[in-house]
Amino acid sequence: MELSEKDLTRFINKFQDRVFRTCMGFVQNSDDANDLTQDVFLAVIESLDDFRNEAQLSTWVYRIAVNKSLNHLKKRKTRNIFQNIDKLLFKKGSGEAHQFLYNPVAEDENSEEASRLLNHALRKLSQSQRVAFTLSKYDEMSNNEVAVVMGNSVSAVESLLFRAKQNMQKALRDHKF
Amino acid sequence: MKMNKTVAMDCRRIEKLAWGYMEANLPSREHELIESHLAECASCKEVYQETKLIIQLIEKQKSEGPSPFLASRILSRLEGKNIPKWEISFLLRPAWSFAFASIIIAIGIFTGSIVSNNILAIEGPSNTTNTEMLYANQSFIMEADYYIPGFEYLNE
Repeated sequence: MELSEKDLTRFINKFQDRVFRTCMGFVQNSDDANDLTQDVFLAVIESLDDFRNEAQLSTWVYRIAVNKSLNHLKKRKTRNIFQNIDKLLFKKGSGEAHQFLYNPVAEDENSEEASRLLNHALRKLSQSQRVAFTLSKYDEMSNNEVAVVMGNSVSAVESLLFRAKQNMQKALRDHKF
Repeated sequence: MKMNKTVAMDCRRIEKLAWGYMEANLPSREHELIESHLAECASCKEVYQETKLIIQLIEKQKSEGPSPFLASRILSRLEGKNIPKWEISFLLRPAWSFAFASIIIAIGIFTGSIVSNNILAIEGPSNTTNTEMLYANQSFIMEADYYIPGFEYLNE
């Protein structure tokens, strides 16, 4: 499918805010979310020929955004394991430069604490709970819309969201005591 | 912290309802129940405050937008991808790789045959001894100015 530059710009402008928010919900860092949003659009544009009208274009775009974000998290997890091994073996990266490079930027102590708590709570969610939570809270999708993107029933999404919130609460409580 | 049985039981219930309370999605009766519980339970209050903190952070993250240059960056990456993609894929196709390798080998063989012919031209017939070859090579070096490739035995 050949699209003009004008069509592509219009397409990107239409979806960029929501795709960015989805990515932000997963990666928790605006620089990574920007890079990931670019990757999502490149993947979408390059595979427009594969798009069939069985699903809405927006649903298809969000599915690609979710998959790309989950892949990014997996890669980050592996990278963190190697960084931790590296730190353990060579005691590298304990300086300020390392802190600056690998920790999400926090403007003040309060948001730094909030960021730490949110990351801790999100790590306690299963993959599907996290997808449901992100689409619902960051993209403000209705349970029905989340169900369509995830290919689940509405009741399954309701259950996922309920358990996600409960797990997050539990994570915060366990973290304290 | 020592809690009585009722408060502890309420804590578990509060855990289920807390998010709805913070999003103001609860019926007024449950809303009041949570408020009175939070007033007397320090641990639940602390978790409530932390949850409030992360909800505020989510709201803050949601207010952030993508880079204003996102579209232009994507378009330039698409352009950048298209040009080399064609060139590289063209050269990396197995058939073309094989053809290029064959051409390079053929050029090597051709060059090698010319060089060996030229040396033979100086060396003379193949039954020459090593000493004769050495002299021939020396004379080739000395008479190199008069040697024209392809015109064997020109100096004879």
